[in-house]
Amino acid sequence: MGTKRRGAVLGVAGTAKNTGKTTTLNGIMRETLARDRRILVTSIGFDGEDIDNVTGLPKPRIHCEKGVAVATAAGCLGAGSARIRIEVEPGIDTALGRMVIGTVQSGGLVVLAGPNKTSDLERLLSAASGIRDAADLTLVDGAFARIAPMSLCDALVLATGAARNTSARSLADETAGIVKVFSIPGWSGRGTAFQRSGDRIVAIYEDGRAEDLPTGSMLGAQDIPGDVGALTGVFIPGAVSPGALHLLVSARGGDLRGCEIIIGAATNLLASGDPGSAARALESVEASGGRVYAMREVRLLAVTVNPFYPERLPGGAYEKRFVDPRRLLAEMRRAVRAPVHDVVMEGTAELGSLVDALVADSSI
Amino acid sequence: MVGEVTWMGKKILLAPLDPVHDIGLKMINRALIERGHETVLLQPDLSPEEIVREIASSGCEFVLVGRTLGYGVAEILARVADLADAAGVRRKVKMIVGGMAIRPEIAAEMGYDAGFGPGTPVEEVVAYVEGRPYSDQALTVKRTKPDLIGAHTYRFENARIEGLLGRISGEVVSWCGGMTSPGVERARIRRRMFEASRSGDESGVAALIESYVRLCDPAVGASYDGRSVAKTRQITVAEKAALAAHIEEVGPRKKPRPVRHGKDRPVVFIQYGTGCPIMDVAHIEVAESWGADGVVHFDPSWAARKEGMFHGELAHEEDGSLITAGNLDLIRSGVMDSTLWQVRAHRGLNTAETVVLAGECGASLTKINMAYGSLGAGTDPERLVVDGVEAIKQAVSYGLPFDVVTNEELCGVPAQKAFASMLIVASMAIRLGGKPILQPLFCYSPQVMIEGQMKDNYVDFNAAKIMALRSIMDAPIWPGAPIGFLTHTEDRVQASMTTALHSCLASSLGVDAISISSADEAYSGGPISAAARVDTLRAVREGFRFFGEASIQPTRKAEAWAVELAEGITGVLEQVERRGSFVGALYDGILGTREDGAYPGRSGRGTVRKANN
Repeated sequence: MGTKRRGAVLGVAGTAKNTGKTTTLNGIMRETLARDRRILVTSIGFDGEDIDNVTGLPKPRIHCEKGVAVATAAGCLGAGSARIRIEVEPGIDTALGRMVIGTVQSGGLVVLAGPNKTSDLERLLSAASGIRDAADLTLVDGAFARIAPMSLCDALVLATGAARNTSARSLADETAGIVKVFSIPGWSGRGTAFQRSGDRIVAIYEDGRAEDLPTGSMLGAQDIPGDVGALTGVFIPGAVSPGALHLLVSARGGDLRGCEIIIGAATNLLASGDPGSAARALESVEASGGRVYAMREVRLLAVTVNPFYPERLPGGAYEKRFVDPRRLLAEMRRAVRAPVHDVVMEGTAELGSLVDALVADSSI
Repeated sequence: MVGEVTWMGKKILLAPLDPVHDIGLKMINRALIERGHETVLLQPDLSPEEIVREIASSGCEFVLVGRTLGYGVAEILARVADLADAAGVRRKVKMIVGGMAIRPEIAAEMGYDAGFGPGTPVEEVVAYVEGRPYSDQALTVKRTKPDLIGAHTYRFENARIEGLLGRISGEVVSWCGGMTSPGVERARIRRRMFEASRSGDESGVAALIESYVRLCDPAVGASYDGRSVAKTRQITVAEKAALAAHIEEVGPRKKPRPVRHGKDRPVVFIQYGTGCPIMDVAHIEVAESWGADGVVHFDPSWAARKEGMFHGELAHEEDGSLITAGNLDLIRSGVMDSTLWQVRAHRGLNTAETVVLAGECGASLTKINMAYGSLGAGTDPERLVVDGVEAIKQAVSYGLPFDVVTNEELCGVPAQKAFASMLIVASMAIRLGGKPILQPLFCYSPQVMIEGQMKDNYVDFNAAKIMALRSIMDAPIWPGAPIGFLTHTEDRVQASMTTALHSCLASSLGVDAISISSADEAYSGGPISAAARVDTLRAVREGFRFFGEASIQPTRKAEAWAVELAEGITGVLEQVERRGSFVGALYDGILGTREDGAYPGRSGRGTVRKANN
């Protein structure tokens, strides 16, 4: 009693622009509000333009109803049509000015420019949980080509679609790989060596030695522990590149049996760029007998698919195009081991139920 | 110094991601070193992993990433930020991105603390690193209202011409002293109206209005009864309130950008006249923000043919904004105190009264000309000369300088005749204590089309005009109107380019001011857009930046043509003197024949009479 209740934190990440992230976010908000939950919404990037900067095609905007809490840059408050009352200033700066947390007084469109790094998102979540009537659900809108701050989320909804890849099969295979990465199990914390909090790689050897490496991230050959043959475990708090994992496998001659690799979060493996290579690196470690765990689990709650893609015409203009939505959905459901939804074709009720279950779990 | 803050030297890592273009970061690096900071400038084109490794090992406090946005580049920039975050180093550093097409919104989206786009001064980035506010004096100019007269003495350099002008202008001024017209009388009544209003004499104002209306066309008089005027509507109370609120909000935020580079001349004027005084304010604000030093009011030509000036705050549905006291007050409220504001009085039946309105409503200058208005704009020469002399007297009493334009060149009148007229009017003005400004045209006139002076270039003949005038007298020179007239096409790039080049020529010649058009003004099939104004102001600014203190050099033909022009002017003035009457010279074609394209106007003919004693 008396401790701050944080509520559930759900990220909405897109695999590319125009994959339906904002539509998904708006749908989740509607469903959650309909279930009388309190919501705080923010972004780790910038979401608010009504025209895509690249294609010139119109984009959906974020709509917030009265009562929704919004965390954004103060300079963005007047850019939308929603009227927002400022409640608190959490002392976080963004490229667009100081952040504020406010409550929507009259519903409308909002422009979000939120905490765009993990440490600032952490401060925001802490500040938000101290507010009276703190949110049951904090929605974190994602950003282009970035995932790292999502390590603070309890779960993610991944928005993907034809804008990422117009081949339904290829898209399904890639998404299956991403789901696999997010399925990395949580580390149960055995062994005192791994209790050391810190920002360095810790290597554990057969004889019980624990060695701190001079770096916190495993990005290349120079980050591989020296006595790799005797390695029984390695704790990597920072970023992990797929290439480094492959190097680790080959340094052990393709045999990682008895070796546990504990990364900070699944997002740390994805931050290196291509999700496909992250999934392949994971498979390589597992195929060699190694096991990968995450200190912090970020569950993949669901995947949403968007059949839309912008087609570039000769002359440089873009036009709206759509792949067959039913075929796309079927292919995705065949390959991906997670709930898959097309929120436009099928509605948001099922997705809303999943989100509500997440919220209910966090309040226990 | 603004924002003086005690600071310690910072450690900054600079990472150029572009494999070739890292000059921006090099300039910033140098500035940071000079300020005592410790910098590490990485080699270009490192991978995100290599950059993150450098961040982790360097112990830096700031990371400056430089890269022009292009295909696939946003992904790389985002990856650098994301990898730094996942690696745990992002929380320890401020990351800044800079390059072409970078904006704060893009910086926010890609995970950076700040973003600086093209044109960002190095000093602004240094100020950010040092945690102090930035204020670029070069960007936000403290403007003072230019003085076009300056040190000009009006001393004549050509004694022959001086003598001729003295005799001619003496005759005109003397003759006009005994004459009057409805325009002269209305101007004097208008002035008494303002005086009565200031002293609170309402019944006096009402009586004066009655007298005034009797001297007006019925359509004009009707506006004083509150009746509507064709092609116009009254500005509403709500619109006026909205304008006032806008001016109050925007006024303190105005930060005009300088258009000149290292020089204080030429002063740059734009021309406005959307028809609506509120839209005019919007155009003026845009032009001021982009560097215009002065704005010139354009009114519709049909109104100049009416006896009397309309009453009220009226929006006009076609080009040109009506000159009424109400409209001028609205427009004046939106003009910065440091902006020169010209209300032109040069061609119709309300010349003298327009000067009174200009003086009472706070204009900085006016325009008075008798030749163009009577040979190319339809006003009777006798009427316009009488009204013009009254206009000069009114301008003197209000302390208003005025330019004397030679627009009849556009009708086909050769430059030597147009200049002769201009100098006659200027001489009258000097005689009466006025401050005239000579306004030759920089234009592709019918004369040069036929005679070929601009077959090779647009430089020499325009330069010859300036040289000729300077060989005659020391007076301010303000080429117009606008410069480059008849060299513009519908192509906005071409139109901006020719305006910029003519501006640079004017700057090279050391003239005092220029009038420029917007990029769509010469060929606009519809409203002139604010964006097109920015086109030419930007182009002129770029031209001035290109030349700096360097200049355009005319060929020797310019000198030869200048001598020819001065001789031609002398010849015309001699003809005018022999004729014995400036007004007679206008009617007889000495200052422009029908073959030239000059036609004495008929508007106001027969309205001049002897003044009562």
